[in-house]
Amino acid sequence: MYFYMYKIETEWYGRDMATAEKLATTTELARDYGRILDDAAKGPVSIPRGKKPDITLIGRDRWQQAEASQQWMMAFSVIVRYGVDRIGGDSGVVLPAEFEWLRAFEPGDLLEFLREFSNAMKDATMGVRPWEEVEDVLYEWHRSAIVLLDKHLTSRLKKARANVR
Amino acid sequence: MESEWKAFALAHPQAAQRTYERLTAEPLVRIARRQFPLKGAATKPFWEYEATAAFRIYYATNSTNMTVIVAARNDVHSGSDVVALIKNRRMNFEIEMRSLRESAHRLEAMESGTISGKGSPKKKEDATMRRPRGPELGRSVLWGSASLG
Repeated sequence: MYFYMYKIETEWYGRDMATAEKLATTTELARDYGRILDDAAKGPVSIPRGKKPDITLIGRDRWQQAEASQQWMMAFSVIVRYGVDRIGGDSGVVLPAEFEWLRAFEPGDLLEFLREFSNAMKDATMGVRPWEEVEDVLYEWHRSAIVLLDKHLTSRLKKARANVR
Repeated sequence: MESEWKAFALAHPQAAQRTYERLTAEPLVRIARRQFPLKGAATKPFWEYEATAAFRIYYATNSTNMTVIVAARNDVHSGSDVVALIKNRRMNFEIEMRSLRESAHRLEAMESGTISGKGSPKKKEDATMRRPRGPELGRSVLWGSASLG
């Protein structure tokens, strides 16, 4: 049972998702900035500043990861919302211009897209795969939508289907 | 189809050579964004290969593992990169948020008397005035006696 839970946790959330936050005062920062910067390279170090907003030092790779995560979560939330509505039978859902191409797909295809996109998002969020792979998924589905929207090309593909496997 | 391939080979002989070698040696080996199976039931089992920035080859393999090229298209749509569009959307969102934040701070400063509005007399605070509660996307910052509903 314990092993099973551990497997679920590592598979779905990754091992190192939670990182302990350290605290340092401004005095400590001034006196021992070398050690604090080394700590910040390993995990977040927060510096309370009284009435001013606190500052958190983090490694550049973690910051980039957080930035990419925020970037793609916005796209993900729009896509999931659209997918759920479309698969649920509502075809009049409003979409931002950059996702209009999703309308080219049938609900069954959309489900496959959501599965592929959410897996890539999960792996990238956990740091298992790079964020470029999320971009790759979107790029390839977008390219496929362009083909689907080209009636002449799809009719040629349809005619050729009998000769291929 | 033959005429499309010939036109492509004449216009881009080196790219055509590379394409021929790739599609005969490894037709079903994916290269991210360059060679991949098309998505969606209506386009299966075809693949797309990016021969040049503008040319796309659509193909599949037959029962004897021969590569069958179905179309070579000078793709006019390739300029609209969806990834760049999504990233721009984030940038636009942040610009909008920043300008809303700035206007909220400006209004707050005007209210507290730190700065005065350009060309407008400094207003005395009215009991009906509400301090802006921070930026809200898609709405202008509420001011005066307007209600947040």
